[in-house]
Amino acid sequence: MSGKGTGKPDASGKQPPGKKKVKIRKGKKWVEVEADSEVKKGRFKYVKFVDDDGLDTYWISPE
Amino acid sequence: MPLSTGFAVYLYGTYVLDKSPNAYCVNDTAKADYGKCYNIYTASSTCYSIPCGRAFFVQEDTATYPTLPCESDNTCTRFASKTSVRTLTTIFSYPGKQGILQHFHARSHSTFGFVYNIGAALLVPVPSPVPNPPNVSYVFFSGSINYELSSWPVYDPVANWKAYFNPYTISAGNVSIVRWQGSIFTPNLYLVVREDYYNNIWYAGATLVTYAYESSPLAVVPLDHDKEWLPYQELRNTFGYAYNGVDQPGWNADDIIRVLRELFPDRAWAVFDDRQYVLYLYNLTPDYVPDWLIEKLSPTAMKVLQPPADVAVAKAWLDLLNERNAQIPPQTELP
Repeated sequence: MSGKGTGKPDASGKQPPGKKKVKIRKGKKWVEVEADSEVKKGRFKYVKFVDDDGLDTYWISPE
Repeated sequence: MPLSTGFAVYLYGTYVLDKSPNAYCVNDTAKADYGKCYNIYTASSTCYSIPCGRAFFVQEDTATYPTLPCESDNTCTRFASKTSVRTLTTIFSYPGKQGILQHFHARSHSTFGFVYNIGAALLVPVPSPVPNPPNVSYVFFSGSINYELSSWPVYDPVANWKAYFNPYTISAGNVSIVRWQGSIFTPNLYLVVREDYYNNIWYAGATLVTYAYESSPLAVVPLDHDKEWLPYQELRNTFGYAYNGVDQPGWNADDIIRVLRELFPDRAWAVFDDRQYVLYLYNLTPDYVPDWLIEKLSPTAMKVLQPPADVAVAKAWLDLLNERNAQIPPQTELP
């Protein structure tokens, strides 16, 4: 199980970097969101942000 | 997405395995028993909006015939208007999804039999309530059907394995029998009868339909059959069941989430919306979602409906899911 970017200091004690603007593809549109962090799951990488519905959302990263 | 098999049986005044049905009604207005139906097989439950076990009578003259005798004794459902093709019920409707009609067997007793060599007053399923007879005939009545029209006695080759042992006649009207096998992909399937704008007609029938359907979106709630019998049973009653979790066709993810919130407010579960490719997590975060599940579903997004109040609950979900996955034989790698 992998998991990164929980928002908490990592083992080295460093704070994660601040929010990063990322473009994601929602349906047919590209939308810019402010990602809190990144999470890697299997082959995929997801960016974390709070979506319009107020839910913590992990969207597949275009990279 | 897994496919499951569905069966549907529709009984209107007669039933599928009746060896010598004699359901009929009287539509001769000169007769004293006009409007009466005889030998109607009555069932107590209802088939969607129409009561099972009743024949149908079309008589639009409500001034002369305000109530037919068969209406009074609950042996028929009366329609007071004529129509071309009448939709009796919806067999399935999966918006945005596909079902596959695979087989049906229809036997009808009616005022008239086949018209234009296709079944009029025959209860057949169609992909849509097409009011155009050729469409009906082209879809179902080409090639692989068997039918027989009222050359007494009638044999039903499906209800009777050795049909010639159980021939039957009815006292009035005609018998039409159609068996069809094949595959037609459609999001909607209806049970219809072609009336061709006839008035003063009656029909009774039994139809057996077999189809396949896409059993998703998917609720991922692994339950232990032996240890958690009650929730297992409750879930099966609500959704149905699939090897990789629990699923229900035709429902959207929102409905499944709503039901799961009620059934399992304290458990961890996930719902995969295969329309949006979103994996919803309840009492879970992506940390607890195993990589193999992500590989399998390839969600575009994961949304946390509620983070875990108790990590033990999330861990239990993950452990049970991994345990179940370990029991599934690995799939062969594609070349």
